[in-house]
Amino acid sequence: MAHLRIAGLTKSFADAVALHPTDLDVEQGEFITLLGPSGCGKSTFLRMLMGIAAPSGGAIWLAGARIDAMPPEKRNIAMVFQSYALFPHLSVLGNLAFGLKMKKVPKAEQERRIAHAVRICNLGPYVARMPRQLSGGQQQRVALARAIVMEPDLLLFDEPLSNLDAKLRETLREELLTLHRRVGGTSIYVTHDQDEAMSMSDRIVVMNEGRVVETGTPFDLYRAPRSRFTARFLGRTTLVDALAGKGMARLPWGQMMPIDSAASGPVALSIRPEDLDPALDPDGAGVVTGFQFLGSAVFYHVLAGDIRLTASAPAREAPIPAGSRVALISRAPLHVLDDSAGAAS
Amino acid sequence: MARSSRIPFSTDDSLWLAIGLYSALVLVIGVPLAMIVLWSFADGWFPPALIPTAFTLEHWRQIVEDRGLAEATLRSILIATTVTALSGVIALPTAWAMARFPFRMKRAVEMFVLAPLIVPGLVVAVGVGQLFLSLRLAYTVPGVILVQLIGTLPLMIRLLSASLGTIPEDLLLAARALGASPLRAMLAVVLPLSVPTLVAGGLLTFVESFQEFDMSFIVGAPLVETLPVRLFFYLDGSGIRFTSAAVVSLILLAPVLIVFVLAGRIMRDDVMASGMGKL
Repeated sequence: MAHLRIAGLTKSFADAVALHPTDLDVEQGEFITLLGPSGCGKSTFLRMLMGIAAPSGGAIWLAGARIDAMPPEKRNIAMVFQSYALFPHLSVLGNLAFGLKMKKVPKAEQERRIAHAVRICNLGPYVARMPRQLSGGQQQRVALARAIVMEPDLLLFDEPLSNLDAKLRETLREELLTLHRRVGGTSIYVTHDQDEAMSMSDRIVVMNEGRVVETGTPFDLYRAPRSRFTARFLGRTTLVDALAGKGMARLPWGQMMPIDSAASGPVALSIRPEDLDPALDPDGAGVVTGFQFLGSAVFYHVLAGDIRLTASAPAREAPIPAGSRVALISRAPLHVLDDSAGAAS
Repeated sequence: MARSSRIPFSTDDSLWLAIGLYSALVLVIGVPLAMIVLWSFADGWFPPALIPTAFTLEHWRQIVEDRGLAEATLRSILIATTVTALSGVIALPTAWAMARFPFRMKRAVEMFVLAPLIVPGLVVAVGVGQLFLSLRLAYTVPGVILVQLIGTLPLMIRLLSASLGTIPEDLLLAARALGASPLRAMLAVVLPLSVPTLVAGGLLTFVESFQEFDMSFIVGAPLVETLPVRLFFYLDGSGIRFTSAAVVSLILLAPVLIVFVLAGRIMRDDVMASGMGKL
């Protein structure tokens, strides 16, 4: 049985369903991200895992024991909050020791675990400080250390980096991941930031409107999403209706391009910027309407027929000026979405 | 005419502000206090003399030699301490409920809790007096403590519910996730964070209880005399005796000053710093 098994977990309120029945298996040591827009049910999901919201149905097993009816203090789950939630009246050391005292861990073991967490989170110089004397990033590291000392069966993260500035967020993202590998724990990370989800996760669970839309590795979900929602939510894409047959598709502006499916008939394609290479060509199908210089690449906004697309080119070439006619050359077979029926609006 | 656009009350004004505020302080507190001290030692003070024409320790001797006074002082300290402790213990859970949980008729309950602030103590005491008689609480120390609680609780609840409302929900959830039961989360997180408010509320409660007259008089006297009740006997109805009144005022003022100075020292160093951080 999986380390964490969730079966048919549901939460409904009098007038609305916050989470439709959901199943999820998480293996020991996995780093899973719940990704979705706000209100998609990911917070409800997390609150039920933690034990502060009661499920309307379903079951949760963690490390072989059924936990869905247990109060939070009985579950061996630690949580890192978006607000850090450090106790303002306790020093860093006091914060780290809080949970160990509550769980009556022997003194020697407390010291060993705290020393370990302080070392791997680089908190050495700060142990005697009060939380208000620390920067946001330091506070977040204390929050993380406080969770790690508990040696939990499951570590939950509730958008832990969203209160930090962009640069720090990227640094902490890596630190967090390194820590996860070193500690070897099982983690569930909730975020609405697709970059975070893609760069950190072993698997991403994409959620929308109280349902799991799709689950998969970052690569699979990005390259070969099944649903429109996933394709749009992860990275940039243009969804285009096309007519498929024999591994090719006729695009709305008349061009034929290879696709990654043997489907025939009307399909919806997800076209990523890196799928199309714009080449200056006076007879090309598209017109450049503008570009975005990103440093590592240039994104071109191209109007082909009445479809607005994004195509990319390496930044080492001089940008193609707006108004130029370009031919669109496909670099790889275009991806066909599963839920192709209907318009790709 | 052009209006001056400078910002009022900048550091340029500090000298004038200081002078103004200190003069006001002297006028409102210093002068009356000085008058009281002078009166307590005066042996004849008639206009147009600016200070008494003769001094005596007679008024102090009279009151200090009253054996009932020491007893009343001890009793008052005991009552004020108990009232303060009980106010904290009762107000904390009440304030927690009012600050944290939405419930039906919340507005009505709030009004009910605060009502004693508006109703004069005399009215409360007369109403309660009858009830206490039948409960055998009249003329007892517990009776006086209970009736004083009616007056002190609203303030304590009000102060606490305001400060408890600012404790973030996440702190409690974090405590729970770290293995604290709801009760232990209260004791280990909410209580320490409420200490500054409890100290502030406790001070006000202590002072209010120590100086309270109306309700203590009606419920307690003559069998249970608190210090104010005892002292007010010196101001009998035959006429205002400024000299005795001055001594009484000074005696009533002393413990209050001591408590405030002590609390000020403890709070600044320790409690304020730990509780009032980035919540």
